[in-house]
Amino acid sequence: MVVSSKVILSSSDAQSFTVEKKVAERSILLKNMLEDIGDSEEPIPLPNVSGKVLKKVIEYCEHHKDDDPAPAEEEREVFDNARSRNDEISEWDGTFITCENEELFEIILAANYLDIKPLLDLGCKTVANMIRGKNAEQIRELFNIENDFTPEEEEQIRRENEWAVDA
Amino acid sequence: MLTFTQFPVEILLEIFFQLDCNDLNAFSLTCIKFLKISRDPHSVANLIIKKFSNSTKLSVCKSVLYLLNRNTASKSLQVVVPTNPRITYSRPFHEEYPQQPFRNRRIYAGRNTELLGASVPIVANELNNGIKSFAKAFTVKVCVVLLRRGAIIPRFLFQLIIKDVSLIPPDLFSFLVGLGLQLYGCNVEFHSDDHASVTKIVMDAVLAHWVRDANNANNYTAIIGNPVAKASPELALLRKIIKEYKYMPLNVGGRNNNNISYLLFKLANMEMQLIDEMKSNGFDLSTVNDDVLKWVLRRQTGSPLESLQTFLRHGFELTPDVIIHGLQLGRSDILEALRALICQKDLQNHAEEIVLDLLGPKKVYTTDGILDYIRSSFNISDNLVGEALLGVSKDSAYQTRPFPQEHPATAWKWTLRHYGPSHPFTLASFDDILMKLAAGPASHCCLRSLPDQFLSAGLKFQPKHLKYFVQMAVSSEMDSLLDHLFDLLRLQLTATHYSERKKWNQSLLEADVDQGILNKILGKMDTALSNRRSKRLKKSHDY
Repeated sequence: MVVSSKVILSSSDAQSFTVEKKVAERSILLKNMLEDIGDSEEPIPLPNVSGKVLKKVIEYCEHHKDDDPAPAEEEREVFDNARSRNDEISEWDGTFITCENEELFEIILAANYLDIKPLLDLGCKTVANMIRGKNAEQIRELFNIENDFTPEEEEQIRRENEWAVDA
Repeated sequence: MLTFTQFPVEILLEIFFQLDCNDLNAFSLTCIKFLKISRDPHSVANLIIKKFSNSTKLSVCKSVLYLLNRNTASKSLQVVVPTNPRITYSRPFHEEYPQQPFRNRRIYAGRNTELLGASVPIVANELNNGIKSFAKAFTVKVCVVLLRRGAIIPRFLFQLIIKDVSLIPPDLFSFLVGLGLQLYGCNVEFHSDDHASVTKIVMDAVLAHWVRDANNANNYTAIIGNPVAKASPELALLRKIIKEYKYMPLNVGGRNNNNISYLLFKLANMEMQLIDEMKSNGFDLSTVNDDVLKWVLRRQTGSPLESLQTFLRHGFELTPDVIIHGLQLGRSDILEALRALICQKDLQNHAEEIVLDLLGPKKVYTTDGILDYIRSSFNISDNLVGEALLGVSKDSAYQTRPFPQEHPATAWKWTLRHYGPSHPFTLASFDDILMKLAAGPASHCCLRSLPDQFLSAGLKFQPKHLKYFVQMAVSSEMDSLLDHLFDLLRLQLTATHYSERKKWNQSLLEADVDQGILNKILGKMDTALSNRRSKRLKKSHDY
C-alpha cells in the first residue's frame, strides 16, 4: 500500500508496519513489487517473515536508507567481489546483529527472502566469524548441528585433508 | 527450533564464501551437507575468486602462487626439495630439465616469488595453516571450472610451477604442465623466466638510454621511448611475452610494489599499449596506480600535464594520495598540471591537508620548504595553521602538534620565522621546546640550539619554565645543557627589573622539589641571583 511515500508491510503473524517507501526499497523484492503494483493501498503481505524479525529488518533498512542503492543484477558480481574483500563490520551493524543464534538465522532467512544483500552479507559474515578458528566439534556444538558422518567417513575426510601436511 | 543446516544452499554458500582458507577443513568435517559444499568445484571456484582476486582471469594465477608460496613464506623463501618426490617422471627430474640443477632451485624460487610480488603479507603461521586446507580445495576440477569461467594462465606461471614442483599437489601439477603444453606448445619454455626477461629488457633499455645521454650530464632522467628502442628485437620479444604469453606482474602490495611500479612506469614510456595489454590479461592497475603516477611526477621529463593526461587516458587515476605527493614536490609545473586536471576547491583542500599533516605528530620532521611553498601557492589562513599547530587534545601535556615528531625543531623554527617572538604560536612552541629538552637527551641533537635562537629573537624564560629546569636537574646527563640554559637565564635576569627576579624567587619557594635537586638548582642559580638571596631562599625552603 502506498500513501504519500509510505508503504504498509504485513508480517506472517498479521502485524503491520508502516515504513517510508525509500526504506522498503532497500529490499529488492519490495522494490520490484512496488514498481509492478504501482500505487496500491493494499498492505504488502510477507508470509515468510514474523513480526519480530520484520521489525529488526526495518530497523536495519531505516539505518541504511541513505546508503548507495543496491546494484543492478549485472553489476552484482563486481560489487560483491569488491565488498567481499572488506571484512570489517561497522560498529552499528555489529551491535545490531548481536543476538541469539535463532534470531540471527531468522534475520538471515528474511534478508534472503526480501533480497537485502547487505543484510544477508552481514548475517553471513557474522556466522563466518563465529566459525572462524573453531574445529568441527566446536562448530557442531555452537550451531546444534548433528554429526551425520560415520567414524570411518570422518577418518577418511581427515586423511584426504592431510595432503599438505605430508608435503 | 531453526538450525543452521536448514538454511537453503545459497545461504550456506554465502557463509562458505566468507570463510578463511584455514577454516575449510573444520567446515568440511562438520556434517555431510557442509562437506558437499566444500568439495563442490563451483563453490570452491567462487571462493577462490572472492578470496584471491577481483578478477576471474587472475584466479588460477593467484591460487597457484598461494600454493607455491606456502613453504617459501614460512621458511624464509627456501624451497625444500623432497628426497622422494611423489611424482613419477618418465625420466628423472634433473635429466628432464638439465639446465636447472637442484642446487640452484632454492635461489630461483626465492627470486621469482619475490620479484613477482607473491610474498603475500600474511603471517607465516596463518599461511601455513591456511594452505593445509586450501591445498586440498584447489583441485584439478576447480581449476577446470575457473578456466571455463575465463581464467587465464600466463606462460610465466607454468615456468614457476616447474621450478617449484614439490609445492603443487601431484595431480594438479600434471594437469597444469599438460595445460601449459596445450596452450603454448613448444613455446612454453619451462626453464625460461618471462618475468626476469621483461625486467631485463626494460632495465637494459633504461641503462642504454642513460649511457646514450651520458654526454649530457643534465639529462639522466630522460625517457626511454626512443625510435631505436622501438625497433629493437628486445622490444619485439617484450611485446610477445606480454601479448602472446599473457605476462603481467602479480603484485600484491608490500615491498615489491615500488619495483614493479618503476618497471611499469618505464614500460609505459616505452610503449603505453603494453600496459593496455596487461590490463586485458587481467592485471589490476589500481594496485600500482599511485606508485606509478608518483614516478611520473618525480621522474618524467617534459610537461607533467601531458604525461599525466597520457597515463589517465590509459586507465590510471589521479587519487588524493598522488595529488598530495605532487603538491609536496613543490614544483610549479606540477602545480599547474594539477590545477588543469582537478578543481581548485579540491586542490585547496589537499593543500590544507598537507599543512595539517606536516605540522602533525606523525611526521618524522616538518619540511619547512614545502610549508612555505604551500603557503605561498594557496590561501592558508592563520586559523588553519593554528589548528595544525595547536590542535592538541586537552589531556596532552604539550601544546603543539609537532611535539611527538622525531625532529620537531623545523616546525618550531618555521613558526618563529613566520609569526615572530610575541605570537601565541611561537610562545607555545618555545614552551614545548623546553619541555622536549627536559624529556631527555635523545632529542637534543636538533633542539639544543633552539633556546638561543628563540631568546635572541626576543622571547624570555618565564617562571613557569622552572619545572623544566627542575626536570633537567634530576639527570646528571643534562648538566651541560642546564648550565647553558642558566647562563642564558642569567643574561636575561641581569637585564630585567627586580620585580621579575622576585617572581623567580617566589616560584622557587613554591616549587615542590626534592632538597637535593633544589640545592643543585640553587647552586646553578647563584650566578643568576645574588648569593645572599639564594641563601635566604635556601633557609626558608629548609624551614
